[in-house]
Amino acid sequence: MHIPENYLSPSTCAVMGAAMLPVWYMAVAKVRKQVPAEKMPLLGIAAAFSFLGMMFNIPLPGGTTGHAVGGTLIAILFGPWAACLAVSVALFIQALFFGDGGILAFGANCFNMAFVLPFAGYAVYRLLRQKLTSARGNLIAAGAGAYVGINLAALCAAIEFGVQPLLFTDAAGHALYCPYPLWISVPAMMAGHLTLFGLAEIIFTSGVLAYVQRTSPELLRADRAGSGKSLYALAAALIVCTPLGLLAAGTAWGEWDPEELAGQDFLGQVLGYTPAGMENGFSYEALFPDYSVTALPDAFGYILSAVIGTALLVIIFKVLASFLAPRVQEQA
Amino acid sequence: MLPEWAKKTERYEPDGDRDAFAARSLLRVLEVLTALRAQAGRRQRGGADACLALTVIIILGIVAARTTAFLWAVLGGELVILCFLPGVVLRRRLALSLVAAGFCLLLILPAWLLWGPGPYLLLPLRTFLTVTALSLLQERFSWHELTGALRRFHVPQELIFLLDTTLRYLLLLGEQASELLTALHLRSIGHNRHKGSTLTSIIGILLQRAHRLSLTMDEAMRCRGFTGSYPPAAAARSARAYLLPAGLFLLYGYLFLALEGLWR
Repeated sequence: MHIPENYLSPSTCAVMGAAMLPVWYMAVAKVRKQVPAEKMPLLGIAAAFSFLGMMFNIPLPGGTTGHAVGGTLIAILFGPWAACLAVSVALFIQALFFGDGGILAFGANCFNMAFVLPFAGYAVYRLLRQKLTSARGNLIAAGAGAYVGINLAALCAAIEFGVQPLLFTDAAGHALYCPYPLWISVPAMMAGHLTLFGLAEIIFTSGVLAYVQRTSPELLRADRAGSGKSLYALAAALIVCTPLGLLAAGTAWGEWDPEELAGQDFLGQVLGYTPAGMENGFSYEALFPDYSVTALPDAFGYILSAVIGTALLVIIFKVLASFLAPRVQEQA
Repeated sequence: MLPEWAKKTERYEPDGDRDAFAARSLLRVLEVLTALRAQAGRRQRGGADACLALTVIIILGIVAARTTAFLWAVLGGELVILCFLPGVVLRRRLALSLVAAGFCLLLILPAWLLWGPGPYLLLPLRTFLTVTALSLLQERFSWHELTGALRRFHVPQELIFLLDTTLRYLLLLGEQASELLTALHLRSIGHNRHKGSTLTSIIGILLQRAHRLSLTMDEAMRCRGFTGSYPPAAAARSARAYLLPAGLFLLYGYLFLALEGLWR
């Protein structure tokens, strides 16, 4: 679901980025007000979960892949505004260091995965929670919220892809950016998310939530932080398992680079051209492209990327917490 | 009946004297003192010698590595250790490393602009990793433990004595410097035209006191029977203190050899 560079026009990216500015502003204000400073490092761990969840690629018949996001899970644990901030930071780290999602498309990716996903997922969760009050009901509500959240986010991404050929074409009528109109992008994106990827999001959200309910129930209370040791242990286990994501060899739908796109027999070859904006557009060389490290075996590079990404997220949120409540931190 | 001069409203407004030099010196001295005092009450953790050896070896690896892969592996390890520090400490340590790396970047900037990208672009990263490694070592162990660990590596006693005494004197003389600067700050009303001579006077006083303290210390050491020899620091009681450094040593040793093409 990470929109790469040059799939959206610069003007679309600017609009999406501008739309996210007030959201981020509100998110910072709300987090400062609602999340206790001692809970902030745990928010970093939650962002790391989202980061790690996005590294587990799941193959879909046809050669494409997808992944869980975990935005609804963070919204349930810390509130939707905190989830918005956490997923935004995770997406920023992914774009900047690992080239997963475009730098220009950062606003659009945040709109889909850091805004639509956690808010929609949390709204469904709260709605169902009124009826399902048991611990089991909590997991069912969380799973349903996660499913709705990821599908709405995928729908938004599909619409953003689909409007490009309608809005931006050259004199010959060729699309400048993403070449697939709504009637192709929406079914293509939704087929995977309504089935496998939606299921992955349900399993990821309900599974981690069940683990937290069992090992650190204090984390579910808004006023208490808890040590979060079990979460650290789970994050370490996920890091070790990240090379499983390498088993899915394909690229997610809509995340191909121009060469890959041209090689797609049912899309690129039928199209017969590579959009000019994609061929000559903005390009950014990430430090660890596709979570790989030069000279390291793929599996080790994947683990090292997961370690660096997770640690960076925890550090960022710890530093933020130290600015929010220096006194609390000094005592700790 | 009040005299006429006492009835007048006085409005004393001292000249806007620029005393930033004194305030800044005082702040810096207090900063160093706070860092030194923070080390005083720290509990002995054990395994300082193993961690010191590991840090030195990793720094040698950082300096000698020709490829970036080993540097990224070290970065991953350092970031994980940084994660376990409290927020305020983490911020301070990170700021220190980033400033050092930023300064290094500034130094290589002309080369970059004139000759384009080259291997020297890794220098800021190497600086960041080296400073962070030392910073983490300092955060975990007190200077007292580290000087004790040095003896286990057969560092000459004179050098350890010099290092140990310097660290102790930093605290003693630092406290005196802070008192002198505070006194100067409080007594400097109005415009002080002789800032330079004032500062040199403070340094002169400190030198005199240092001389006096060194004599007193020499006498105290004689009285207590100090022979000038430092016994090696006792090894940690539990083998657990050595497990993690040994594991990291094996991991990074293997990574260095494998990534630099020395392991066939």
